[in-house]
Amino acid sequence: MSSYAELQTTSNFSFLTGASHPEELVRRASELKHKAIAITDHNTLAGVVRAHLAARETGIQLIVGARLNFTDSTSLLCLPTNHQAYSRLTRLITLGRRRAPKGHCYLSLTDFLEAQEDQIAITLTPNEINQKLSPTFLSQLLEAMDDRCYLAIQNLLQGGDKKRISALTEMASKFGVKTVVTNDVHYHEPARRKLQDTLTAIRNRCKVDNAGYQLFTNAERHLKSASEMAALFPHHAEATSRTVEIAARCSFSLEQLSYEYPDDEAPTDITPQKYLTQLTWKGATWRYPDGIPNKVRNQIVHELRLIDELSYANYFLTVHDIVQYARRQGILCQGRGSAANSSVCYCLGITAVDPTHIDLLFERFISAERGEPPDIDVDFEHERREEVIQYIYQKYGRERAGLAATVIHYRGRSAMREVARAMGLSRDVEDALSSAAVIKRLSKRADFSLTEIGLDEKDPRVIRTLKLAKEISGFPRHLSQHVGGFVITRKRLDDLVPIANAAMDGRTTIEWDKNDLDTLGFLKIDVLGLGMLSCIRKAFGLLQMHHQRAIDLATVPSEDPEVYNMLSQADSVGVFQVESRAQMTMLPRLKPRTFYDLVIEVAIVRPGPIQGDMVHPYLRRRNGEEKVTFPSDALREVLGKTYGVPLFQEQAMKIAIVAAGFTPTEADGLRRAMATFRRMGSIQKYRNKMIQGMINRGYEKSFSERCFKQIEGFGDYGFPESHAASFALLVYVSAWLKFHYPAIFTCALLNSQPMGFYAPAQIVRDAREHGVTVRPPDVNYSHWDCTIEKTSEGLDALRLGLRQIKGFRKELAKRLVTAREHGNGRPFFDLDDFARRSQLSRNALQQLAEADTFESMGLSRRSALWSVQSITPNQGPLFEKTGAGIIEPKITLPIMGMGEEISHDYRTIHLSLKKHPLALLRKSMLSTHAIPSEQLTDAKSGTALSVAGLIINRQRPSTANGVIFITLEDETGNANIIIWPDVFERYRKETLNSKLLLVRGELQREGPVIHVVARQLIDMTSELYSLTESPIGSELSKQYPSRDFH
Amino acid sequence: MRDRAFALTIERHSQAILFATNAIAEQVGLKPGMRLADARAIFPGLKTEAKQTKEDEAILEKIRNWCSRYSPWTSIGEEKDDWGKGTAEQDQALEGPGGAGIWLDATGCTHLFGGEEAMLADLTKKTNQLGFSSRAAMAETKGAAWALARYHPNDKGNWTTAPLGEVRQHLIPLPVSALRLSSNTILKLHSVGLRTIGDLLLLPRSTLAVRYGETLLERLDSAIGNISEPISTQKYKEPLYVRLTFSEPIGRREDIKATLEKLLLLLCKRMEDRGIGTRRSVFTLYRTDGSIERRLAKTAQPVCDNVILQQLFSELIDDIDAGFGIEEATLFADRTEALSPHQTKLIGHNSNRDFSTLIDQLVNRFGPENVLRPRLAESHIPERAGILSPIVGPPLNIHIQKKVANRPIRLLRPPEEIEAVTIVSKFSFEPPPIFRWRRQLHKVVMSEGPERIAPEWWQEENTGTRDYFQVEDKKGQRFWLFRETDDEQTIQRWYVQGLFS
Repeated sequence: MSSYAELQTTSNFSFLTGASHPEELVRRASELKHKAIAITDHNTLAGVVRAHLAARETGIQLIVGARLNFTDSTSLLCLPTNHQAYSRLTRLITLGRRRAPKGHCYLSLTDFLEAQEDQIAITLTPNEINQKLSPTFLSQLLEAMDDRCYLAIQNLLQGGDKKRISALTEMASKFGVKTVVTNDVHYHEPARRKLQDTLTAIRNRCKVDNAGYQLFTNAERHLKSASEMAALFPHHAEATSRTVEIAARCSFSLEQLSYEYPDDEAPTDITPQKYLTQLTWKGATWRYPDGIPNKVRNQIVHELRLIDELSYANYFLTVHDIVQYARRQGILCQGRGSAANSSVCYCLGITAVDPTHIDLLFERFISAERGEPPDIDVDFEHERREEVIQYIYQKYGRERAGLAATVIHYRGRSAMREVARAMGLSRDVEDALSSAAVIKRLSKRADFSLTEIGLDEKDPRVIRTLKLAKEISGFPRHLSQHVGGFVITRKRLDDLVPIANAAMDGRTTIEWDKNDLDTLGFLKIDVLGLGMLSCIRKAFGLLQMHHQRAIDLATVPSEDPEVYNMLSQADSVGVFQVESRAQMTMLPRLKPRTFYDLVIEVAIVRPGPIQGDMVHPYLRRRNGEEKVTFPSDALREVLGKTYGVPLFQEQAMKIAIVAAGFTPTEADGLRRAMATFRRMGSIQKYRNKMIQGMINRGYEKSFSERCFKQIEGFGDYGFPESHAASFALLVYVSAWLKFHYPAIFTCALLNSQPMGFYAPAQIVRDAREHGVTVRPPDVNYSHWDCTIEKTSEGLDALRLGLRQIKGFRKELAKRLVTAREHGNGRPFFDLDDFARRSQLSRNALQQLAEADTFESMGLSRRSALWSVQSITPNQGPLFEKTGAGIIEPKITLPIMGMGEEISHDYRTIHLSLKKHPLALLRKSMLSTHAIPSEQLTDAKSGTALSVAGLIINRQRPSTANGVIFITLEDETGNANIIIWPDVFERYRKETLNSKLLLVRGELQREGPVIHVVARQLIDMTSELYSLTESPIGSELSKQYPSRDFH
Repeated sequence: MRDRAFALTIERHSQAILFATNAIAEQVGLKPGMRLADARAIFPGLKTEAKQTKEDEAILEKIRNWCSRYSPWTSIGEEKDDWGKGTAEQDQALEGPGGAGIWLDATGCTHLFGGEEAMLADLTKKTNQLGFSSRAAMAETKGAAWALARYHPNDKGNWTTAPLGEVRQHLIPLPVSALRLSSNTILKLHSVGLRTIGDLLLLPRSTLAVRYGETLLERLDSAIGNISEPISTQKYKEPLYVRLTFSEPIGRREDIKATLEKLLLLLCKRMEDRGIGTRRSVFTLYRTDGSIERRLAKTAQPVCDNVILQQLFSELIDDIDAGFGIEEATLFADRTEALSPHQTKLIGHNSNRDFSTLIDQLVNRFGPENVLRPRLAESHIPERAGILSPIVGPPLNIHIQKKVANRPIRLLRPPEEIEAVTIVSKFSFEPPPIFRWRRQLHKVVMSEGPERIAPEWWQEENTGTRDYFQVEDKKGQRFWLFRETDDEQTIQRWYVQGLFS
């Protein structure tokens, strides 16, 4: 019986080339009883960790390697025999990738020869049938590598094989190099040929029909058994069995990689643990200036001991260093994640959440059993995160720090689109097939027929497209960078994994993603950007400047009852996390009174608790409408704080352990399966185990199922208590700012746009409703950013900045402000003065005039526009003196009506301070009987009524079964509209296409929450256009912003 | 298309955007300028097609041809100058009604129809019958005609005329968009409250020029009549253009011939009067369904002899298919020259016929689609690797990389089945030791192979998987054999497909 090991495989991590997952190749090789399998993707190691995991499960030997494609010679397979050789390979690929743009790798044979030590090289023959192997190439390799160099022979049944093989064998013996058999595997089973052809067509951007000779002739490039291989090479038995010899020479496994935390922080004369201890106690006296409470002292001692046991000191020190850097630069940051809400992190300044307020158990997040690194994510101001990223690169160097990759996979839509294109379907059919609705229905409803959308189900091309699209789903398409996950190592990172350039300038990424890092136990620190932190930092700055009040995240006065009152009334526009409509309907039900209530508020409006149907039980129990019971005593401990209802991810995991008998490792496997189940689909196994486990332990079946559903809901948006706690602090701080300093808060919010749930129009409107004076942008007063001015009563007033003007650039605003300041504060007294001093282009002047910013000079929008249109750019003083071309006949322009003013305001600054459009339209809309939205509060539940307003957002939450939520805004306030799917189907056009909408329906009241359930929708947008009194009104007023479906 | 929502789409910034919509699509709320994705969200059943610029041009060209019954001088109106600068929505909103247009220089032609109004009425009625909605206007300036055709209020139906001297008065109430301005200029004008052409005429010209550029004044003048803008570059001459209409559509060949004779007589008479002859004559027949048939007769020298012309045309009109009948015919001497005193023989001997003139002649005689040459098509399946395609067209790509193994010099089409005995196995890589082809027995002494060619799974009609062998028999004859197996690998058949030299 012959034996064989496949040494040349191209997986789908050689993007658009290989047609099987690395896992599939490894599993198939194991089924075929191969002695080993090498994964040799083209100039990359991106798929090897997945292959490693599969090899570990099946027990087959995995040879980690790569096919190296050179710019100057034929390709070869590089198989490292040991750890050092592996590191040489990762550095070699890093070299090639770092000198090429993203997605490419430029390597020469010379580069390889420098890294050849302990590598095995298998020379490949050129792909084209008639091309020959260069003798110089072979002799160069031989000279350097001697018996580590082989020549691959393949019998792919392409015609002329016998001749070619004998020619190669002859050449090999002439040079004294041994031949070895490979099968140039591109897929694990022949059935994948179709997919491989399709990928080839996608790669060449053509139809399969036209791919011609780009396609392989036949389906032979699959994994074959030893006897099949032997049959293909009846006269080369030794070259076949040589594969096994080579496999035996490759002793490297990814198991040998060991990750070490960077140890840069602790001074040389002191251990990291001691240093951490010092820093922590120093921090403790800073956090607790009045003396460290005993409880905290005990907690710190306890945590430090645990950190010592698990040797995590360097990890904490590394995060501490990054946070310290941000602090020095005045960049606001806040840690979150399992270990972040510990007393140690509080003392180190990594988090501003005082752990004594929330009472989280450290062990819950950092456990010896799981043997997994603790997880700390740090959020930074979104506008300044790049500084932190560059600091990390600079401090550790490109060879020690890199961003994790994110593998972008083919998903329903992209899969359908690209396959349809390769199949040559028309754009029309492609669009129809790839529409979200179709994909959803295809995956969910077995009886869904394409004829419903007007396609011919029997068209063989359509059938093939559907089949192939399904197959390609889950295939990696390219590598992208992780949002902020950094891997930092003690020694060189490029000894562990290849590093490549990212698409963004100044970023480098490794080839492995988050799951790969988890598999190998590598540390990742998430450096994330958060808009609200930018906003809060700016608000703190304004507070310092205008009120001489210096506070930070940790010193904002805590537990202010007035702040909670405000939140309980759902008065939360602009407040972090709880400003969405769903949160706004939750706030008055939950009525938060304490910080921990906010933690719950943040976590409860999430797919997990909603899908698990946990929200209502929680609310009933909290309001005393239902008895608080626990399914068992064991769960009392887990669910005590949440009235027996699991809300957080940790609780769900804990239930799996306590109630279903999972080991912690299994529970963790469950969590991960959830996060990646779409790709691999191993969920059923866990489902049965969990539900059966719970039933066996005496829990009710329905409770068990709900618990599992909840975990499923967590899959995509896992939201643990530790994250909720960090977010809750930002909720509280932003709410506090909004309540006490509404002008400053609004100012900071506008200056941090785009972020959050509402457009500037709603933010400004909300501020004005809270009594803030808001002033329009004006060339004599405005800066780029919005600013704080004082009213005659000495209150804060908000001056809108030039940044609100659509299309106006920051540099121009700066030039304008400099010109104003150079005039020693002399205001611009007329347009000529302004044009001369600011030296702005006519185009910029036009933008400013359109935005009505010359009011302080007594110029109306229209007269400013008329004048601006005649200004010659950069008119020097010379012309002014001669007066050339300046004197113009006086003409009278028609006066601009209020309606048109408002339209122009919306068009240029996306909002109007003059009047709400509805205030003008109210009269002409009398016949519709639409009531102002403020009157909704007085109406009884069930009343039939009509409301009209601008649509300010549309939402279709994935958890709401197709229900659409629309928020309307009129001159008195907002109205929340609910549109059921059947009504939506009847009024699609109106729902999706209107800017001004009239809704007839019924009032629905749930406690303090009011909705209008729509029965009929009428598009009133033309009314809005008529405001301009212009035949091109629709053009002039199309900028009524709505934030949709995000 | 008329009974369901339909839209044409274009690509812009790699997004599909509705370019034009039919009435039903507009009823459900779809408008040109929308993103296709949004449109589908609103109306999932929308049928779309990508706008085919070439096809649209072809259709316009057809309509233009059709219009040549009204005047020999027709041209296709340029599309908006700045399409593509603004957003599609903007362009659409500002472009006003109707996209494409056709210019007719009706000077000297209207009397053939009984006056301007009758001509326009006839034109719009007939285009409507063809299935196109149209609006028409006639004015003394190009600018005014453009503006009125698109913006005049529909008091007389789909057409209007501005009698001499009344242009200004007709233009005053029209929106500024009627001046063929860029969307940017239109927006600027509206922002200062200038909405109509009348508003502009009230203002001093200098104030307009400094703000909106000379173009605005040019367009204004071109509409009002201060500058002339010819439709075609040709200087005005009475066209050598004759036409016949039939009260009952004609269809028989004799009738067509007679029509041509009549028209030639008329034309030659007029040419004789002017002492010129035609070098190119266009004979156009208008079918009742709106399609036209056109024949060109070209001569190297000017001719003014109806007999010669008749002879020239007679070959050409033999194949005319009258369809549902021909209602109108025109003849136009489209290129003329002064008559030279000598007439030369038209049909002579071509002495030096080289290959390319042969091809030209063949193409002329049989039509370009009937003269073919073989081409390499990239397919692994041998009988699909060569196709015949029209000889006119892109040049042969002879630099295709040779990526396939040796092919025989002669291919049998179709492959011929042979009698052979071998074992059925995927792993058998040997040809039959002996086979019978065309009753002859061949004993294989040498072979190379197999070359396995898998079916083109994306094709509807397919082959099985084939294993090809080159074999040589005792006599040194070399064959290209293949074995075809079905999917289950149970049945196999052997064929000979080619012979090597």
